Amino acid sequence: MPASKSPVIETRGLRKVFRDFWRRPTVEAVKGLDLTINDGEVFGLLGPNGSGKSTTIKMLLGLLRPTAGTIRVLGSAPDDTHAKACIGYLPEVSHLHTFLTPRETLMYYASLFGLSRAQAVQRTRELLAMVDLEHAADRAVGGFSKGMARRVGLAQALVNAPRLLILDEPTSGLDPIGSREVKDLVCALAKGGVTVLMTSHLLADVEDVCDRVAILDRGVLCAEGKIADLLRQPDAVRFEVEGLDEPDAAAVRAELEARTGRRVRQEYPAMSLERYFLQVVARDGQQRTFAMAPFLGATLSAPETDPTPTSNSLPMT
Amino acid sequence: MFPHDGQSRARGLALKQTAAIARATLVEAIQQPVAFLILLSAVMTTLLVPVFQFHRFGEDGRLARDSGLACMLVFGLVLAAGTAGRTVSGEITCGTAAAALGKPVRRVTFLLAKALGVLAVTMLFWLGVLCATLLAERGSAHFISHIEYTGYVMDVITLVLGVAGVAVALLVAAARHYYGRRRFGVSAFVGVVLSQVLVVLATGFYNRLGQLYPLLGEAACLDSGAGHAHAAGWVFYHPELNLRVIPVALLVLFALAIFAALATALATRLPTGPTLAICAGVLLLGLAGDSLLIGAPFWSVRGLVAGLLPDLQNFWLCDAVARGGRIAWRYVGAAALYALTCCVLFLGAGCLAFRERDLG
Amino acid sequence: MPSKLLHRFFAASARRIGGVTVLAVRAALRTRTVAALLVLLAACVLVLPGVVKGDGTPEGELHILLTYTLSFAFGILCLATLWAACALFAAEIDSARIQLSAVKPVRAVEFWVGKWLALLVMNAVALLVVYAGVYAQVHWRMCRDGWEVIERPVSRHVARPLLPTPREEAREIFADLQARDQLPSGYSERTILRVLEQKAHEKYSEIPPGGRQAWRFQLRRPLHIGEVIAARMRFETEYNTRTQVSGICRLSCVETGRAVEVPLDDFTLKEIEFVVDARAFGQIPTEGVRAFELSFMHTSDPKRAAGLLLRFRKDVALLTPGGSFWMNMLRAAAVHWSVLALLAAFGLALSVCFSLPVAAFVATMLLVLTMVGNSVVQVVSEEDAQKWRNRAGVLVSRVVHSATRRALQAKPLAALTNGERIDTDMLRTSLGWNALLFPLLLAAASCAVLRRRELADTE
Repeated sequence: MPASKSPVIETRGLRKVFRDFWRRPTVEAVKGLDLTINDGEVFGLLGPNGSGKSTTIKMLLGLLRPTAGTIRVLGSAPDDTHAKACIGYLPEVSHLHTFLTPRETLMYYASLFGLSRAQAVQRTRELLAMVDLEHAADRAVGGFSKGMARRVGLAQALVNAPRLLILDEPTSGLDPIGSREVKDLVCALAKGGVTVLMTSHLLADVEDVCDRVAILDRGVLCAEGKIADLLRQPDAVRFEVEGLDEPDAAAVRAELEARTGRRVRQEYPAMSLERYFLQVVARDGQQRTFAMAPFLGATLSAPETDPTPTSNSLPMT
Repeated sequence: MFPHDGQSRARGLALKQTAAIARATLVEAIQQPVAFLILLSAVMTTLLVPVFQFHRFGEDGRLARDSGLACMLVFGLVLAAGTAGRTVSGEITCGTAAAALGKPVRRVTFLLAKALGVLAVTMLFWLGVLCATLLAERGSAHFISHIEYTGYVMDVITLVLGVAGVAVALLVAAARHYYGRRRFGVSAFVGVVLSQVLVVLATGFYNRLGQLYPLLGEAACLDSGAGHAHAAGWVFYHPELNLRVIPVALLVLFALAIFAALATALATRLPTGPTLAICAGVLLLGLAGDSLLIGAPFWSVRGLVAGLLPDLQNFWLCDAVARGGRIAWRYVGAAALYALTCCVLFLGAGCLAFRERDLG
Repeated sequence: MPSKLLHRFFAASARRIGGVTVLAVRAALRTRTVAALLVLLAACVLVLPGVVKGDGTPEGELHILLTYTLSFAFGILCLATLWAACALFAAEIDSARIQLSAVKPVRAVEFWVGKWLALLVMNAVALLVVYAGVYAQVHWRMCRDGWEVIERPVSRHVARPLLPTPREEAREIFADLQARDQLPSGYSERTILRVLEQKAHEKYSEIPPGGRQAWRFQLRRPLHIGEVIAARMRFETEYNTRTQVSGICRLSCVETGRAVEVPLDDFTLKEIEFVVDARAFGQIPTEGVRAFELSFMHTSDPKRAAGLLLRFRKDVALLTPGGSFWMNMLRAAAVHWSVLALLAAFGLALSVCFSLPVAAFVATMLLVLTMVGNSVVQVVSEEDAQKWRNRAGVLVSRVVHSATRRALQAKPLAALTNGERIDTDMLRTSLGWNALLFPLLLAAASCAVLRRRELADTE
């Protein structure tokens, strides 16, 4: 088990100013961001377009240089290769090589992690099964639909069985089943000790899987905390009772109103559209979810010759 | 409401669409750094050829002129093919073409507008290099007979003005970019062309020795050995430029138009690299068309190749203006017709290829 | 265990480099770039020798096959390598694909080396195909046209006369001019020495009718019994006259004291070459002989015949067997490959700095500048170089020349055509500078840029 609650990502006073050709500032995308994400957490980064979410992620990954402030990722600087060995990243657009097949794509990224051929083949097979692309494993990615390409992107992010998984809009382009699967996967990975940082415009997705969230607006951290804490309405209480008929419900409501002297609202909770959709297409969806189950429960199998102390990391330089 | 109203409105809309797409293509193309670099290289090479000469056989002017025209053809070909590749093939790949064709724009209109845009870029480039060629020929060493000196004299002022014009254009573009946040590429491209045009116009006010006509008039003109132009009278403005180059340059422009059309047609199916390679191949084979044809039966590979490819020798007549020769405007007209035919054929083939192209 | 860790480190690094290389090769193969290139090369190798007309002699045919075909193919490969290299990083950065790779634990240098190796591998294959095609054509022509043994392509060691080096000669002339107070005014000592050294390379000396000239040689590789040695002289005649010239060549072995005299009177090709069997020099020791003397006596009528003009350093040579022709072709291919390796490194260096079109443009312009610069340096006179308007151009040309001198020193095609063995020094120099040292410097610079460069934008 990973050490509990040690910070995996830590930023202090993080700023990013984009400049034009003459080095004049054009936009300040991130303004003094202080953020701490602990080991094993599923952390959601929310914000409207242009709020600095992607810029922050790119700084965490060493793709952009911060103008000011410090970043520690897994205890190291963002461009440290040892830290990178333990990170998985899924960008907002998958940016895959269109002339490669999914199998070749995963083999390529596995080689970048220094995996031996046998390890890479095994990992590729597992991941292709996980993202349900075995049937298209030898077709060029260029001919894939957006959702299929997204699955390949997700698989490449997991090729090293990362300790830290950074997902930029992971459910974009996926159908509800795929979206559900990704959310299940995130939960399963979190259970296995993987720290997940994700951004999404779909707030319901974040609400489903994240332990904590931070809301950015125009580069400023506006709110941060556990979802339950942020969303709790302390001045209201809700009861849910199954199988209560209308007369009993009216009686309970009247009793409550009489006792508290306050107005009581009675509702019949509706099923979410996502849940309804999953029920309608249940057969296929369930099969796929079951197919994923072995990988979700145990996370990905670690390579045989894994010398690093953390079970989810791969041997790196 | 007349029955032809709808037709004319549709025609008007197509024209508006063509103009809008062509304009966007032009601006998009000239803001690319590489377009500006190509123009800059062509203009600077042309202007500097008279400066860096190590042998002189009394044909400095001809060498400068031929170099300028060669730059015009070669750099122009790269610019036309590169622009067509990026604007057509690039837009198909990145989905911009699909976005435009999602509007009520016909594919033929789209492609023709793109070709017009590419042609506009090529024409701007051509104008800049033509002016630079005129300046280079005037600036190169000429034999003059003056009261105080007889021998070869370079028109240093003209060359300096040409180069300074480029420098000023760059500075202005930089200033516009800094203060007005205007796109540097566009300002620089247009600025360099404009600077060369202005310097060409300015050369009419002074002679080879730097004496100003408005101040010295005919006397200065005669003293500098340029008495051939005006035997008598007050000379206020006399550009000592070899304007016989213009028909030759026009022929080169026709050749470039053919390449613009060919490249646009090819780019509907091929990426930029192969488009450029094929255009370069057509240039080489087109210039060798005469040699290919000699002795080759029509129904042979050589005969067919020579018959199908545009004969570019028709557009490369630099030698015709040597030693005072000139090209008849009738010939220029016939060449224009030939070029137009080639363009129509290439663009027709391009439209057919584009009609069946998947844009997803 | 440190050694085990080190081994693991290198193994992982090799896998990463291999991954990058394989990806680049796959990209080239699947985007039809290689197919297009191979078609061009095939056209060059198969069509060009048929189109270009030779003079009908086996030498002329061989010259076209080797010089034209290989030059064209090499030129195509140069441009293709340069532009492909320019695309490798630039296109990946432009399309943001590099973001996925850059977040993996790959060092900048591993990326760079992986891509460079991909270009080297593809160039090696392309060069082998081209050279094999040309070799096959040479063989085919030999069989078809029934070339004589003497006309067939060979590979021979070349020994040049033992003369003072151009630098030594320049210093001698300088000292002489100084002693006679005849040094040109207005030029520095360094400039004068440089000009004198340049002239020493190309200096023509005359052998007038009735005159005699002898040269000493020391073979690098000794001549053994059963081998042959060839003497070769190339020359110009005054005013290119075609009058009858005759002379006697005498080749003597210093170690055995025996000599062979060959009377010659066919000078129409402006080249004399004769072959002597080693046995003609008497009892040759087992370890072979190295020291020779070649002399030429111009026996034509002094009143009618013209003098012979020779550049002693270039035009006089002794040739001894130097392996097979195909091995020499392989060495030429290696020299060409090394130049392509340098171009690949150069293109990659530009690729990390600029976008694809700009990098390709800058690369092409610099290539043209290199070619022009090297030509200017060869033709410009010191007088022209001093003129103010030429100064900037000459300065740029000289800088370009000195920067690229070592890279372009080797002339493999000239050696192949002349039947001269590409010696180990040429090969080592070319490979060392072009495929090792220069790429190392360019790799260091590229990696420094790549590490500092932001690989994402505001999107």
